[in-house]
Amino acid sequence: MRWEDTKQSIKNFLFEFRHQKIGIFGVIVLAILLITAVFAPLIATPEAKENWRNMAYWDENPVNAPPAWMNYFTSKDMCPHVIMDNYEEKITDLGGGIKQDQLIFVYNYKYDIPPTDLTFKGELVYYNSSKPPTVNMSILRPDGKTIKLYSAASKTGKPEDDHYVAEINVLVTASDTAKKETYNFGRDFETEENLEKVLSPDFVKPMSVIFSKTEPGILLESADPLKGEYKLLIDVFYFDERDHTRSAKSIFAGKVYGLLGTEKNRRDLFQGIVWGLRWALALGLLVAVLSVSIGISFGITSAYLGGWKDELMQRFNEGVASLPFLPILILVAAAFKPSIWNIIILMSVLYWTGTAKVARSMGLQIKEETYVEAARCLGARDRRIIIKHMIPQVMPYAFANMALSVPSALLTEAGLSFLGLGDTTVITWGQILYDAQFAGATLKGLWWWVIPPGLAIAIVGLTFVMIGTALDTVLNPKMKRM
Amino acid sequence: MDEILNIENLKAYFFTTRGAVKAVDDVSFTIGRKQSLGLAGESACGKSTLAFAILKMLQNPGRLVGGKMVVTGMDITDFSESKMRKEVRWKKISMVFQGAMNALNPVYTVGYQMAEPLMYHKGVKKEDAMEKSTDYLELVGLSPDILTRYPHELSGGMKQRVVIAMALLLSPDLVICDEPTTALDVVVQAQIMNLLKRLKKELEISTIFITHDLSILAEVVDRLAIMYAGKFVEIGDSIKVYRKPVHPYTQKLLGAIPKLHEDLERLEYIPGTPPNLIHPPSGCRFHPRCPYAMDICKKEEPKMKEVDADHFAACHLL
Amino acid sequence: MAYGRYLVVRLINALVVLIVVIFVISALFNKVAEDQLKVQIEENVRAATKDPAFARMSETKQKEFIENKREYYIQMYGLDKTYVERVLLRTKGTLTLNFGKSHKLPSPTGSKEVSTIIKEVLPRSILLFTTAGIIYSIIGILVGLKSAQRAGSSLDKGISIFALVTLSLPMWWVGMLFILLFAFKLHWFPASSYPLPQYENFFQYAGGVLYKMFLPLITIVFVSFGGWAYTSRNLVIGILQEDFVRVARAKGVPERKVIYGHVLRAAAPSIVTLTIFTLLGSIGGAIITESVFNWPGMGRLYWTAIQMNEITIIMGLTFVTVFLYLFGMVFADLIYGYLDPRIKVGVSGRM
Ligand SMILES: Nc1ncnc2c1ncn2[C@@H]1O[C@H](COP(=O)(O)OP(=O)(O)OP(=O)(O)O)[C@@H](O)[C@H]1O
Ligand code: SF4
Ligand SMILES: [Mg+2]
Repeated sequence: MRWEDTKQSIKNFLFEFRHQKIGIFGVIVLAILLITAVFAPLIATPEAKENWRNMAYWDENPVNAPPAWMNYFTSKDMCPHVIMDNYEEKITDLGGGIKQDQLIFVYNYKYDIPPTDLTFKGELVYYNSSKPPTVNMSILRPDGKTIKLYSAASKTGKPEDDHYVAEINVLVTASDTAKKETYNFGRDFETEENLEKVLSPDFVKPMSVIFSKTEPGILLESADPLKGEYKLLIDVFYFDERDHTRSAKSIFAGKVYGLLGTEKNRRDLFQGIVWGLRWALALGLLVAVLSVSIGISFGITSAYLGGWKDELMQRFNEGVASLPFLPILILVAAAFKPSIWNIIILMSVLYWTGTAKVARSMGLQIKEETYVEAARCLGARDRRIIIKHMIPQVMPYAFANMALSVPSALLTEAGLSFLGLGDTTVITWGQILYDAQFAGATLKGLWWWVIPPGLAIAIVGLTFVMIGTALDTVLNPKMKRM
Repeated sequence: MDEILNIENLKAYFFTTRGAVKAVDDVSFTIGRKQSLGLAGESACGKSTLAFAILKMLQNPGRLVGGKMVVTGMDITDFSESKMRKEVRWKKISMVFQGAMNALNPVYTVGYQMAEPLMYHKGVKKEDAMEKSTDYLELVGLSPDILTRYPHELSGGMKQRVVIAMALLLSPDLVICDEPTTALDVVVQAQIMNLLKRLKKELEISTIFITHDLSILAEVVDRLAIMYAGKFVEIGDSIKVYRKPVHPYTQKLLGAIPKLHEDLERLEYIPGTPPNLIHPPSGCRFHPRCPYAMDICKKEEPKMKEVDADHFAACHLL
Repeated sequence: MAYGRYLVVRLINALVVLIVVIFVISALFNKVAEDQLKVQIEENVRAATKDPAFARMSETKQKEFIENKREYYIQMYGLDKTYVERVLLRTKGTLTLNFGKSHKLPSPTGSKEVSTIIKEVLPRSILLFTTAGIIYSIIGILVGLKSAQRAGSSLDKGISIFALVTLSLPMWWVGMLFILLFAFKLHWFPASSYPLPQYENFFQYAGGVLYKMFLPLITIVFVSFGGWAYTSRNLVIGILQEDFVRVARAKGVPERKVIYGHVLRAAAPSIVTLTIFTLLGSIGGAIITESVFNWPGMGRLYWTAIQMNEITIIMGLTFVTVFLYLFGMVFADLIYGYLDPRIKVGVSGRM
């Protein structure tokens, strides 16, 4: 093909393609997807990607929290996730070398459903190894009442230079003191009848008591919420004047979290979906390009060679085509635990047969056309003939086919990942769904864990299907499809 | 002579996304009993469309948009689909389709397909219908044992004979043969033509004969109609039209056939491109290609004029 | 007869492919399967040492005893042979349905023989797949026919879009959605199909099975019928343009008979074979779908075997699916030839 012809045919193609509404829509969606994938580090956080399987990284997030926008759909407001590291600090010298370090976190509660948990985290630096500090935690409610939540000496810290650092991590829901104290607090306002229902402090939900009005039902999660300004008071008692508190923060674990919520391991699903997109696109495109290239080369070569070589190649094609791919991939994956790259290569070497078949019959037609004959007479080498004359003619078909084979590649990888056979060094949507299935997300109704990854797979797949069908109608108007 | 078919101002358009294809535009003619009409014209001028329009079987997006059709005295213009099926199709008018190669369903036996019209129109049992079919197979020179065969087991010529036999099965008043010999080799073509000539003599039927082989037409048909861009341009006694064509298009058409037995492919040699049926040329549709075109030809559509006894043509020259 | 010969050729072809695949699989996975065998042998040897007679032996005797036992098992499992021999042995074993033993996972009846384990789950998968296949092909054909008859209508466009959408949906994910909706939210059906009901009387049993099978069933049907309707639609549209359909109409054949007689009958060979192909093609997705619903068929076995790293079971399952797939294709050809009087070459040969 001469350059002029090429330019003309591209022009014609673009003209035709403009009339394919579905195709245009597909291209737009693909552009958005590509932009999202490229700018993933800006949209999501790179650390999240690095730490996807490092559960400690996520431990400040709430467990199984639905997306924050859920609040628009529910009558009761659920509190979002709040991490606070700004606080007021009051240091009081109590004499005798004892010093009280008070941290005050102000939390404005204006929701209907309380936080699922309240965590205080910090590092206590102390110098006298025999005297680790003592920590008290309490909350001052808007109605002026205070509830004690925790009280204990800190554990022995790790030595660091000339001092020790005790890490502290208090979860109200895990604190016995909080259970007991909230029970005692609420008991005074409960009716006899209600109290009978509460058999012991173990039945009490501390978070619910803290954020409820002092009225009957406070222990049973049925009292009205008490809205207003809460103060979380952390009192650390130190026994050396150099002792101090650092990196302190409190976490009011939200009932809802972020754009897509969190899962059982507290991971932010939004991060997973955004980073998963990269692999979805890479995998789909790579498998499509590789397998279609293999298919086209195979088919054209087969057509060009003809005779017994063609026959043999066709038998081989039929043999490969008659294999059920997924079970075979499952076996390979289960036995060798391949990396995502190997999975891509493996899929490419299995998925080319359909393309090869069509490419061969197209090749046979083209072969008959005189100029290939002419080129042969002029003594051009075999490979040159194939490349120069046949491949350009088959290219349109190849592009359409590439787009159309993306979804099946995506689905196969997702299937493998879903069975727990994916490459665990990367984030894929199939793996998120595997985790969801493993954790019984469907049985617990954690829809925000189940719907987005599958939807994402479907959207990427559909985008390519749309582009592929549009390409197909424009480029191969006469091709008979089944 | 009683009229079998009378068509007046028939219009059949295809409403495509690019516009209405005026495949048959204002066509009128009549056919009497035992008479046969030949119909010729370039490819895509609307011949087959006219045939299907008569059966009211236009394919989507085709519609009859005007005109009147009377079949053996019955005005079928407003007949419903089911009335057409029960009273007209095959009973009054049957058709031998263009490309009869595909006219038989590959998964049914020849016998079953021949029996169908008898079963659905006369309520005849399948066995009896098969029985009756054998008579007609013999009529077209086939042995009855092919009834149990499948279409792919027959040669092209045999299939064409089956299709012809099938068209005669209900003794219709009119048989439309749409290029019954295309896609057959020359020898078989001749055989089929002889068969049709023989049948025409033996049976009491009228025929419309659409063909590319103008040279044969003169021998087979009583009258000849020439169609151009959805319109009849000349119609009349076949000998007259053939010997003394008066319309420039007919002259070209006949002139384009240097020898006998050369098919209509030759017509492509008429200079200029076949007209666009969505936006046909104004006035006389032939004017862009007509060597005698005058100013009036572009503005005014010529009317059918009688130039001789039973010889009409539409041209401003006349 | 050409048809018979053709069929024999197809059958031999399938057999050859089967043997080659099994051979390749055996060669590739011999190592992995052997590692499991070695663990197995050690366990057998350890079990033998539990014998009270063993405790009474002297130390050298004990060592000798262990060595002997080990040798015995190594010979029994054929690990003393060369690599090539072992691969051939495994190929032969697999082809004769002798997949070996599982490592830990027993069948519900307690057998550790892989072929027994698979034999117990296979009928349930076949029940689910074929029921689903029959349902979605019937719905698909009817819908496809309707939309072909009204090509270009909004029904037709809707079906095409639906088909494109379902084409890119993971079937098992739709299963998860259905559990969320029908089991978690609406409580209409159980989320888990396991365990299947006990046999009381046939109708109760069948009813119970159907109830537990319902969700996986509608999942497969939902995801498959759109694409299938689209395929049938294209097939029927092709046939509707054939001359013989026009001829049938011209002959006065009633429209209903034209569609359900001529058109459907002419489409039947392709429709039936393509149904089988679609069904075979959906095996992969359906296997995973099974495990979502805990349907105690091959899919669930796949899932458990993968979680427990039971390579012998996975190999056995792979063999069974490859086998079903290959012979399903031959079966499809057989049907095609039966339905199409013209046949000399089947659909699979032409695709
Ligand atoms: N189903 C259809 N949809 C749209 N346009 C059609 C359809 N069928 C025919 N036409 C158009 O109607 C015109 C007449 O077609 P028709 O088949 O009647 O031609 P013809 O004279 O029989 O040609 P030929 O000699 O090639 O058979 C053509 O321009 C054709 O493109
Ligand atoms: S009317 Fe004019 S243009 Fe038409 S055929 Fe006659 S002379 Fe030619
Ligand atoms: Mg025609």
